[in-house]
Amino acid sequence: MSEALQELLDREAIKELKARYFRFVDAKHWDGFREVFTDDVHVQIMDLEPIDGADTFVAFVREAVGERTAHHGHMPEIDFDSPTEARGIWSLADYVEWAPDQETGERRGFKGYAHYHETYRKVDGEWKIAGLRLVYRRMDPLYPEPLPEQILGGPALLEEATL
Amino acid sequence: MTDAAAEAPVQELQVQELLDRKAIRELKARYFRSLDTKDWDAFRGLFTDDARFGLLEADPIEGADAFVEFTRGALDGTTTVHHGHTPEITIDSPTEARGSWVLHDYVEWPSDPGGRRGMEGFGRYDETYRKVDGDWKIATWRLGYLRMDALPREPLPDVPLGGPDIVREDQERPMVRSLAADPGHAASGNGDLAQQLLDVEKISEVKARYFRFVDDQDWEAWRELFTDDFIVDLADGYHIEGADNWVAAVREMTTGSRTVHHGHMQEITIDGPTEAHGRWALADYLEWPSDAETGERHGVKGYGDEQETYRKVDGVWKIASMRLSYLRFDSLPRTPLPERVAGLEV
Repeated sequence: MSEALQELLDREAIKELKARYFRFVDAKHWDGFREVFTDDVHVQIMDLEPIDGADTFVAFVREAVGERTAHHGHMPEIDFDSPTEARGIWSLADYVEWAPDQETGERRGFKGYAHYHETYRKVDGEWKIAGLRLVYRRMDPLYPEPLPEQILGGPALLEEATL
Repeated sequence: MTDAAAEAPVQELQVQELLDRKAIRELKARYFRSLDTKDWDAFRGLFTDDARFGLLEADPIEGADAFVEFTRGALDGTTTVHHGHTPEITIDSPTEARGSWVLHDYVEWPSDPGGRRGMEGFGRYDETYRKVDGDWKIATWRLGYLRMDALPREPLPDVPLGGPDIVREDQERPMVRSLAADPGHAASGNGDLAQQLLDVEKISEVKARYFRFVDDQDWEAWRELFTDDFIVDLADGYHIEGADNWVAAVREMTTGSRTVHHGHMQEITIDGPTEAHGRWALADYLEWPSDAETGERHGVKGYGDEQETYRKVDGVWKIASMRLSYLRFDSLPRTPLPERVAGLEV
């Protein structure tokens, strides 16, 4: 197989790996989320204590991630170091919200803008995330005022939608 | 038969699958672009005639004409921004495929006396595609939302504060309304198709670095991404020639600011061994230091469209020209952001 073709196939596979990472974390599909990592994944989020091992990391995310999240990935840059090792950079926009403050009703959460610096390893023919470092460029706290409870102006099915 | 001869048909199939995946991604890019520019004829052309549509829990809509009519009724006269992310595509046969996309949308209807009306949504499409007469089309479409936020009712400020004059003048510029249809063909011609697809990947990464380095304000690295004779055209007259002049202008414009730029849904076409062109949807977020006395925020969030040409110079793809126009441009709310993230306990 030509080198160009092999690289293209590997790139597609890594991009879809990261797509599943985002989809599973937002769907809280923890079994699927676990599968995107090598067993020995090494994780560094901001300047928190590093986390080693996929099981530990998944347990951490499950506990820490907001109740309502949306993670969007952008503009991957992927480089190959060997047929089974690669590095990547992704830009992230995320939106994380916890339940409002019980007493004041104020919103709790943030909209963040970050970069992932990752390494990937091909294990039994499948690419997995082997290293993940997440660095936020900015993190905007949500304004505390509750959002309106209804979408106005659009078709009836939106006005009637449960938010 | 040699191993190489046995491998050739397999390779052809793999290259075809890569071309199909690119075509489907660009189909969806045109979906978003024609939707946001209200180019309903182009939008209609993206679907099979018998397409089926499922939106939220509503009864399915049968037929592309009925769906375009519904969408037009719901969105004509609105300002919308739709950006798609991280597609997952499976080719099931030479003429059938499935895909899912993550959606970020921002839809605003004209305000009423009580204030703004609209939504910001975080959704997901599940679709199937069919190849009809050589073109991929959307055959079934389902959109569900992970969350939908009603827009705060409070109006946005009319004019953004802070930053260079060009940011305020942008309010006066004609916004993108109609974008000439770009057929967005996959790599074509003779030559090595796999190599052309790899060039598309490399160009995408040049653009990724373009956004990353400008946000890092790493001006030396940023300068390297342009040809020396780079030309930029910011719709309606604002025109700079020469990469050095362009880098100096942006450097001045962004002094003291914090910026975030995200590119989406590229459509890149290789025109020759050293020539290419492409198109990107842009989301940017620029904030200058707040007013020292009042604490009011200074800045904008923009949603734009970039059309570019690329040239390969000494084996490296560079950006040779760019035309940027905005679909919408929001002043940041004046109210300072809270100082800390409530709820973040880690």
